Amino acid sequence: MQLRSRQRIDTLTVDETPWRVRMRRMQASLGTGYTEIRKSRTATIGALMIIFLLIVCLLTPVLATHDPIKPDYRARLAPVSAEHYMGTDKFGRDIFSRVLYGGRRTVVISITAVLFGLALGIPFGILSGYFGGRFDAISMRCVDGLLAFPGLLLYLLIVTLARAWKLEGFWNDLILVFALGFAFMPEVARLARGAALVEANKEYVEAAHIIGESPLRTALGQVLPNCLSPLIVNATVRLGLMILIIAALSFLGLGTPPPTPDWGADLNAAQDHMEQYPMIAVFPGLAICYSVLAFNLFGDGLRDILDPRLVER
Amino acid sequence: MSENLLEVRNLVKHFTLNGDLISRIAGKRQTLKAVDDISFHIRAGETLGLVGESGCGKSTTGRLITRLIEPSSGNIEVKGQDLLTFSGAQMRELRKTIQLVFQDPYASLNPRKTIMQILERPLEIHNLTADWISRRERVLELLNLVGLGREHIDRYPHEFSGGQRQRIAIARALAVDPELVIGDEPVSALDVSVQAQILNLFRELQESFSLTYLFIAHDLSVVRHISDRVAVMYVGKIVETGPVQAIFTQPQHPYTNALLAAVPEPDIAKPPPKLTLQGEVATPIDPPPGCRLKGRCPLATEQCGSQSPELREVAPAHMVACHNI
Repeated sequence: MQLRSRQRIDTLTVDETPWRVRMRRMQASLGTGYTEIRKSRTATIGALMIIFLLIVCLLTPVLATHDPIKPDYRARLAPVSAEHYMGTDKFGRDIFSRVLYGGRRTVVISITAVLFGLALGIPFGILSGYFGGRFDAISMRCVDGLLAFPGLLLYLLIVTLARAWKLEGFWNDLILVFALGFAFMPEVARLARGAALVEANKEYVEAAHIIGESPLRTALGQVLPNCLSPLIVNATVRLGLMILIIAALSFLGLGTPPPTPDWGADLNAAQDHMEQYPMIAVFPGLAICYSVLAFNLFGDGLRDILDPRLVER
Repeated sequence: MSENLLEVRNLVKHFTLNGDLISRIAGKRQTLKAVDDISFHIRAGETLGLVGESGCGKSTTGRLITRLIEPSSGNIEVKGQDLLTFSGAQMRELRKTIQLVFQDPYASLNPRKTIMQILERPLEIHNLTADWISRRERVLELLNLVGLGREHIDRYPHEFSGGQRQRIAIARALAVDPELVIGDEPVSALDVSVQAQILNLFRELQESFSLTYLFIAHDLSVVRHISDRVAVMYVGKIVETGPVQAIFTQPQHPYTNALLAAVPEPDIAKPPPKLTLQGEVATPIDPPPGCRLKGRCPLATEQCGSQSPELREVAPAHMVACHNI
């Protein structure tokens, strides 16, 4: 009996190139990805929320109605109005624009931080899980050492150092990315190692040896692609957590120096007027809630979709 | 035909078991003698069937010959060269000569790779093709050889049935144009109807490419179908070896006799076979000296308890390891 493929792919075309084959495969996997995500309501809602968030981040310069930094002392602590959709803060800055610009920064930092953590942790974890032995023992003790540091302490340490070096703007954000990504790394390494330990004992690894594949290429080319599912789920949930951590650091006054719009810092500033003008705090808070929820919903949905696949076949 | 493609001499693989804490402190490590001093040879173009029960060391033998695991001692010679002394580069070269087809086609194909990616890797590694176009040509040719079509090339393994997957695994083994193909129970995970197809494929490929097979199996009818010569293993030792006709019509060793008697008859009118051996399979962990079969053998004498029998020739090319034959 012949198995039918879901997508009818015509391989008989003459002008076959690796690029075309890759494009076709990508199209097919995008198609299956779409149908898979649609199966889980959680993931669908999360995905829609994330897409909305990303579009808003992209269109920030268009959507923002005011300069987020320029104070306007005639319109201090203004209520919600047609002029200021979310009112103004104590310097008369438009909160709507500040939330937009702050979100843009936060999302970019958290995505780069997660990517940085993955880039550090995945090769590390895969290699130590695959090769095992002494390398594994030593590297995992290092990871244990890092895990023993409470995350927040590590950020505080790195960010305070950055303060001492008087870094500003882009460089300050870069340090933040480094701190967040570095603290994420041990978790990634652990997860990747666990997955690689399971995969390394499968027969296709022996099959790779038989055809003469080098150990390094076996680990990174054959084993790694099979270890990605739990990592993707973890990274998505971690994105939400990153946003929360960035907000927390700024709330503590360790994120970005004041005039820069930032959800956490704005929340902190809103504290002073909490009793008379609670609306100032509501909008940055809602923004944090929204984005964390978006990533968490999507992550949870992804887990539901990917987990049965972990059993394989 | 007389040249030996593969010559295995006194091959030994002992695994040291870790055991519990107490025995480790006492310094008593248990040794699992998976393969215990076996010798055999395969001539170019022939098929040697290696049979035995589960856990008798036949799969370990296959893995030793491909150096997936390192032997404890012994020699493995391929075309007169001792491959245990090979360096990394020489080993890579050897991969073009010896290939292995695994038992479970569900586990031996990487689920994240398309058939093209699976089959092009050996070609890439050994620089057998110049560019992508010629690689794709070659992969299509390989698929054609094993009875799959070009529409299968960009699919993933989970889109195939067990038999088709095993065909893909065979195509991968053939990609490097090997001389010796080791089949590690390549049909035992498949349906009976598919088994026959795959066995016939093995035969056809042997005829077209003058391949040499080491065919590991526990199914006697499979071995009888495909082999020229048969070696019977019991708990890490070869107990009998000879031409397939001799083994199946005039088995000498009591264990071979028992194995053949235990083959189920597809006829319920016939009485079930009488068991000629009593008790359980001996354990390969720290076996006592003497013949491994002595506790169960109807012919056992005192000599069997003290002295391990060597293979002796009882008829031309027919060797038996038993004191009492």
